[in-house]
Amino acid sequence: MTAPKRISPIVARLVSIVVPSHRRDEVLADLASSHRLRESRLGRRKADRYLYREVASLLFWRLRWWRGAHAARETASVTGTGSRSIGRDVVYDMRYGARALLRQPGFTLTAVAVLGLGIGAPATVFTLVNQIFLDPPEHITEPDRLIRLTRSWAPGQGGGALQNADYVYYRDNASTLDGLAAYGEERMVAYTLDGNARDQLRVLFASDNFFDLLGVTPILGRAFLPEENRTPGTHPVVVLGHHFWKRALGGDSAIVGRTLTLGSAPYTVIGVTPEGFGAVSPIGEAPDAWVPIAMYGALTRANSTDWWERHPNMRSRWLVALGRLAPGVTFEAARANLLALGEALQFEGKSDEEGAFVQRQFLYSPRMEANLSNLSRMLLAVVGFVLAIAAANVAVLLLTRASARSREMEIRAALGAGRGRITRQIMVETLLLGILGGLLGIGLAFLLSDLAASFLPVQFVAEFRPSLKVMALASALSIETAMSVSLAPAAIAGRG
Amino acid sequence: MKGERLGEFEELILLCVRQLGEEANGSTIQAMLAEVAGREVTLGAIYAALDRSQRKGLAESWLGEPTAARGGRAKRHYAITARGESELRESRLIRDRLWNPSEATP
Repeated sequence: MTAPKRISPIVARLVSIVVPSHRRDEVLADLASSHRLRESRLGRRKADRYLYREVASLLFWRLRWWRGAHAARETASVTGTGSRSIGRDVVYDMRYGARALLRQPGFTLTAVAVLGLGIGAPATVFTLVNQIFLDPPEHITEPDRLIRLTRSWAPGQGGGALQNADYVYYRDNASTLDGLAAYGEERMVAYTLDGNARDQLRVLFASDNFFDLLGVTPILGRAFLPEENRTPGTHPVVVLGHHFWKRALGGDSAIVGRTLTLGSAPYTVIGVTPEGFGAVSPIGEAPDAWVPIAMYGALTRANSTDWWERHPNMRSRWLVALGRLAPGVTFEAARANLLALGEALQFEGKSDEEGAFVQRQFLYSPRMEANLSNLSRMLLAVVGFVLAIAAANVAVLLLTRASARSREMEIRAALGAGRGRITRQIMVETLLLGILGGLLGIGLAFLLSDLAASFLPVQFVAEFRPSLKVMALASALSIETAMSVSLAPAAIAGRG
Repeated sequence: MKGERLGEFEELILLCVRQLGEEANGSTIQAMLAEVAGREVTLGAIYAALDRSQRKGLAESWLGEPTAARGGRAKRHYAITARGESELRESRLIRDRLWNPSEATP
């Protein structure tokens, strides 16, 4: 028998909270063996996931045990005449409270629904704000050092596409950058594998240093080589997106080196990106595949070389450049450097206003733009109002109920329940409401986040899901709300 | 509550305990259920069923000696009682009769 693997301290801690000390050791021993056996059967990740399910099951086991062992002492708990610890009293209060709430399902449903909406709105907004502005994109190293270089046509106005020749010029001359990559124009292209015509896929044209600059390493094969992007049309190679590789090609691990027909020409698959890597910003759809910029003409059957050579034609502008700040260089310094290069760039037909336009690629850089934080603040104020209105409504419901229950409280007081005991009972009941409302709110955030994101004027790569951070915040909000709205009814009941 | 009847899950657990003999404890029961019945069951559910069986007098348990193989922690062993054994047989007999009314012994 191999030595038992130790279970994580967090799980051990949870078990010590849930399981009483006289059974703790045996449960931990079982849990360690169980985890080891699962690991050998199902693998590490699944076994780890099961650990938390185990802890939840232990909680239910103890609750059931309490119910069985203490059914007889219930009467004493209602009046609070027994001598017991506060912790155990609270457990009784919770059970009594749960029954009181079940007795009035109309009240309970209304209060939980109102609280759920009140919590769900901020949780949804937090989910969006968190994921768009605060969560770093997957697989991209140091996203706050990435800048976006486009063409400006008038002072302060930019975002215009670059010509390939512009990109090469900036790439070779920018002294403040660690590298400058470019990508341009997504295309839907029909593809064929093994002679069978398949669907269409979304191709993004990217410079040879694109993946290196982002810090993304393919999980299979390799990224582009410089020579694959030096001359137009000579290197038909393709890097596949993880989701496309999984979905359309069944995750075939021998895909590298095989041939995929894009349009009518064969392309060699050279690599597959890691799972979760999609686009270079949260905005836009994830491409299915990347091919070198130099293959643009071949793939789109362009009948000139405008897209590669310098050309005054508007259609020859099709690239966006992504740069990485060199170590120690500030955004402002790099911006000044690129603007100066933009002014120095001379070619036939260039207008006086034309130049470089530099932005941060990601909004969630540590130095977040002022207007963005204003927007978040405004949103948070709005959802704060929603929560306040919800709390006020629940408080009114609770007050009404408190006066309706004055008789019940009188009976409990007559049976010997102290003022503190009754006050605590009301607070625990409201806490239960808060927990249910919080759960409903988190559930709503799961349902509504994607829907809410679809109302924004841009499309997002990522699916929106409340993170643990958001759920923790929603839980804290719901408990705090419950506690604050329980104060008035608890005081009334305690007085009666 | 299932009252004093033998629940389906409880029956499975007791059969595992019977089969495992001296090796019967929470994690071995869990592993046996996963292998033989293809059911991923949590320890909490197993403990609850074992508690219930013990209250009904169908099983008993005792704390063993700590062993090096389990990280120095003592494990709780389970065994079925004579009453548990007869309940299991009774349950099997009923099933046999229902499956195959003509062949069953009275």
